[in-house]
Amino acid sequence: MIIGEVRTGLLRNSLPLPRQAVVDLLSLRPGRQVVATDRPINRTVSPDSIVGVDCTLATEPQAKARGIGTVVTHAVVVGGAVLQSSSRTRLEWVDYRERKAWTHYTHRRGVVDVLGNPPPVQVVNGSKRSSHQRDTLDLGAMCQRMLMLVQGRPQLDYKPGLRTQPTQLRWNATARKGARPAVHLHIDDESRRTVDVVVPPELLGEASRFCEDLALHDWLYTALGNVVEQAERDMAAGTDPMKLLGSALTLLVRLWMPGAHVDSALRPLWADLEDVPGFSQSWHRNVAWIRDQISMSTLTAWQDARTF
Amino acid sequence: MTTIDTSAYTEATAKPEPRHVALSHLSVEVGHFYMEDLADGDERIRTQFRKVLPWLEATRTALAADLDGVVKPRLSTCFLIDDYFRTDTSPDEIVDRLLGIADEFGITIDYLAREAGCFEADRVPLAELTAAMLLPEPPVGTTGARPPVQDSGWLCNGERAPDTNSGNQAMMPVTDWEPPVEFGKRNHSIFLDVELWKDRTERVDGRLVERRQWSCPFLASVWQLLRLGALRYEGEPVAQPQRWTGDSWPKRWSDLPAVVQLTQNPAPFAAYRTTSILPQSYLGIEHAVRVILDHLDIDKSVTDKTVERALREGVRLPEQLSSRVSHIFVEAPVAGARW
Repeated sequence: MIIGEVRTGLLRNSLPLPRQAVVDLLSLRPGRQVVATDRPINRTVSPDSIVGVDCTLATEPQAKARGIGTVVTHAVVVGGAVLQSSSRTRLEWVDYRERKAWTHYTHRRGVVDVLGNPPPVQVVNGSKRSSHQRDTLDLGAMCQRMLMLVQGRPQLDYKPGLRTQPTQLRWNATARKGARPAVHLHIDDESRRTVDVVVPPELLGEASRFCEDLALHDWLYTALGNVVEQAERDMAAGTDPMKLLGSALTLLVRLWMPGAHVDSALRPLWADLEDVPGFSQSWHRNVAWIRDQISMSTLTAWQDARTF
Repeated sequence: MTTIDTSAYTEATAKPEPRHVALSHLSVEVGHFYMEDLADGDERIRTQFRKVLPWLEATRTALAADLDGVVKPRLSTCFLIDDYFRTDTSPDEIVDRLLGIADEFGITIDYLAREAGCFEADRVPLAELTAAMLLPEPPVGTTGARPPVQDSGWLCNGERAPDTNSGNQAMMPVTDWEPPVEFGKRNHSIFLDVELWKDRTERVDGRLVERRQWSCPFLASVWQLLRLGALRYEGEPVAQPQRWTGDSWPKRWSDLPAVVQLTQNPAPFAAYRTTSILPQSYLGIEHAVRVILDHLDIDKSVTDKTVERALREGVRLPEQLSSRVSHIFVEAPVAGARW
């Protein structure tokens, strides 16, 4: 089983960054390579940062559970505009009771051994608790630290081209032999989401990429939805929303490519999400609405110019 | 009919593959000399090589026995000169003298390396690179909520004894002393706390400059990583051996490459395993090296590839780097304080 968290937000820069600038931005460890994929859209991933942990694991209902091992965190920039930080660790149930020498943990990077034999379902429920339990494994803090680290880098001008809210998506992926991949997305509130994924064991490693992709699109969807709401409010108040709509169109719309960077075996999960809640359908409706507003505004401006 | 068994599309930068380095089966360090050892006349060097020779031969025999005639053994020899903590000698006084004495005993030295080269080689900051790989042990109760303390310059193999209040401070209750703990111990702890570096402020041209002095065990860890072919910078090998083409040895150590190839066609410098034949006074340093190697997040794509390559020629390698490192400690005179 893997548990993880992804935080997604707009990069604090007025314009999307070109490819090389993104590579510089994500060169967070001396000597370690940044991985960049250019097609169908640029997706650049920082080297992993690894942190050792030894603490209680949150459980629901409460059980005895101690986790010892390492958590892996990396940052991802998509299209030079959206920043994600993603922390994850694979949980492995063990039967030893005393902490082992550190080498036992270091060469299994991103694995936390679970001591105390708690029922797995209670650990999953614990990882989904809406409020963080004190003194338990804190993936969110590691994620947030990475996000702040990148957002504070000197390559940025700290002037985001659009006002948006970051989102926080907590996920867990369970391996089940012969299972057909399945996903459940739950919207907890305006900014928090919880995702359960079930995959056959051989695809467990691909789950984090899928969840990052899902977090990206959920954020895009939320951000664009907020833009439309804001524009409607502006129009009702007699304020011109064209600048806002223009920025949204330039920054966000080209990034919508569900499943583009996901392993083909997990792409069917997207099909399920397209059924309910029908992500792309409402996305395209919002995009069309924005384009209509811009066209109408252009047409009005043109007509006004002609009458003089 | 031919089939394509990969996906229809790949990109050159999508999966960076680190570049290979040539690897011997064994790299044997036949000496690690401090400048004091070298400046103190030939007799000290002579004694050391005399002590080393039988063990070098034993190492050769042991390797051949391990490989059991399946492949031809590849063994290279090297020695390390400390030009990091003291630079007041010059290669043109020392190198030929040293090689001459080694030759008296029939010891061939394939590679000469400089300790300052473990700090920086070909403008790649190797010590800094290695420090960025440190993965310290989390004390019990570490949830990840706070950033790990990595800047103290100390690394240990367990959990330090908690701060105790001796009762000297008024109004504070006296707390009992608790011992440090080695994680993974057998019954009792052997707790080791290693100083990796020291930051000091120095005056350079009237200005105060912050300088980090790396400790001997830390540079010795970089030295082991180089000999194990485990370091890469942006996927490229570092401190690759170079021949010295000058007519004579230079006046300054820093004019030499980090690793100089001395013989024609030696076995590769880096190796699957390393053995260091050292005076017994190095035991403390090498214990510290072991702790450091066990606390590094080594590029997994490099180590995995090495294990695979070894297996293809019938050599089984442990995944853990420190398990590929062995030592022979000899009784040999050494000069002065060690570190």
